[in-house]
Amino acid sequence: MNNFTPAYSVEQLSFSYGPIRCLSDITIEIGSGRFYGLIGPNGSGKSTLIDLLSAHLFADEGTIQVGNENIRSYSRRQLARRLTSVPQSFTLNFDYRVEDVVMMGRYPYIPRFSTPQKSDIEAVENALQSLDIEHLRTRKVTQLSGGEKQRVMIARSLAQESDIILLDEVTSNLDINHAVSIMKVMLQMVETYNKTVIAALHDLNIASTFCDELIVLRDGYLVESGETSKVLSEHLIEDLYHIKSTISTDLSTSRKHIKYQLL
Amino acid sequence: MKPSSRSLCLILVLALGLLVLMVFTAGLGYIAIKPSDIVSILFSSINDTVPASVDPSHPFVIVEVRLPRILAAVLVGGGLAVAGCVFQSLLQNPLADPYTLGISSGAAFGASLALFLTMIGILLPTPYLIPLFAFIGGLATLYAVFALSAPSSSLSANSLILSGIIISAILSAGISFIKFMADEQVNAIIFWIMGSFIGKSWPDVWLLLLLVVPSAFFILVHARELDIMTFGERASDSLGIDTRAVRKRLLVTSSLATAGCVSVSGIIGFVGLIVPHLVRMIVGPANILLIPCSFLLGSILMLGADTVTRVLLPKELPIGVLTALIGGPVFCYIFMKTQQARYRV
Repeated sequence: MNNFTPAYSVEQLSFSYGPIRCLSDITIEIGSGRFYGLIGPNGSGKSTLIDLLSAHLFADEGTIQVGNENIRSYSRRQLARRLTSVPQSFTLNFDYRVEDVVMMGRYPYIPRFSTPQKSDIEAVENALQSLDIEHLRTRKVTQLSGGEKQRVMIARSLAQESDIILLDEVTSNLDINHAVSIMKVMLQMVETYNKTVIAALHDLNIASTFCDELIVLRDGYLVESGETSKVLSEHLIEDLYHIKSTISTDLSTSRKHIKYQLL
Repeated sequence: MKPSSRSLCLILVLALGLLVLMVFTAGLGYIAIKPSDIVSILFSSINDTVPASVDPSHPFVIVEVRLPRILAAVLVGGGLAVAGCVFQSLLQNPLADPYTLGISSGAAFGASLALFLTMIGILLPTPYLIPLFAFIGGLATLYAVFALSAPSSSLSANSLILSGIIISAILSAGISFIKFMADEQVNAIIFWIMGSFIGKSWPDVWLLLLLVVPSAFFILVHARELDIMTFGERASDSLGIDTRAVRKRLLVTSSLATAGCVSVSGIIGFVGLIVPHLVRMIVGPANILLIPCSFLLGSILMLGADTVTRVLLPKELPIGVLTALIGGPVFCYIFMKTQQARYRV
């Protein structure tokens, strides 16, 4: 994958849940090897866009291309090798062990009636290591804390070794320490392994710190997209969330920092 | 998930245990027959020579009376247990069982209808009328449940469960109505619904073999998909499973097996719920082990329970009553014991 082939080309994408329009006329190109933040108020269509990009849902109108091909032309298994998505919530009803759950990430690579190969075991080890959950490997997922469960789910996605990683507000239920450590792992994936990460985020300071580019949605429409430092402004925040803020730039990192006027 | 050698041993032990139990229970009953004689009778059916030491009436008792009943119990027990594994995984709910979608109610309605129609003389009492009606009733229910939950497009777990409850409720009312109409002959209906292996013969066994064994293999082949699908639809989609198609295929397969079991034996509860739980406590939740172990343990428990009603009790108790009476309290005990240990919050 070189940087010139886009990870996604989305054209005039629209989607409705029955009579309720969720996304309207989204056209955007998503480059490879960059960290994208998907921001916007609740109900702006972030999760729906993630669902469409991960082929959990299919568009009513418009097209999504993954690489140079339409997303519908891939088989599920092919797609699972190209992209992975971590949902906001998941069900955990049964006592699977952590390493078995992460090994499920190798499902698209292991043929039926076959056992995991060396490459599969390595991928699982790397994923466990990246998320610092090696010590939990034999624990049961039902007995983990919320932050630990989320890290297991992300490790499973990393074990998929796909070029594109979609995250749907995965840090929303985590404390700041866990949220930042997960974002750091994702940043490493982008910088070291040239992966494309698209993360729906609520915390704008996290978005501003980690994301190369922002995609801004409101009421199902694309408001703006582009480099984080250019997109993020006091005006945009007031426009989206009806809250006043002051934005300062950290001189050492040249990242923007948002201070909200909450009262 | 590679089955460890310890788990393979467990499968072997269970399989051996089942075999021994089958031979042993074949000797029990009104006419007691020695295990060694049973083995020689079973082998004689292959090479056609019964040893002189064996009582000439015994081969008939074993081959035509006890063996079909034993095999029916084994297949129904195994089939319901495996179907239980599937329903629990697919509906992402440890409390689901093969009857959650109302297949049992549908089968019971079909059987009640067949019994009622023969009572009032519309249908002639032919041998396989009741299983046929029960089977059709079970499948029609599955179809209705699918149709009812279809607008949610993805056959999501909650809408399936809810549809199952609604259809079951309607059918239960229908069964009550038939019972009311049957008046003094209501006993036949009640007795069928409670479940029994009395008088099961070879055609019943063939029907079960045809439905249960291929279904169980098909389900076993999808063990990995079942594991992944317990995490929800987004997760399984993302991992490369065509969730909707696979879910439908597995639901239809396990429902066919369930409908076959119910139409042969009536409604025998708790095996499909309890056995997967028991096995999960021993081998963990991975379906590649859970499914074969559940089949074997389900078979052993069902055969054990049927032997208790057939041999030990002075009067044959309906096996559905027995499994619920024993299974219910056992389940309560296990549930209470594991509840605190399993969940942190």
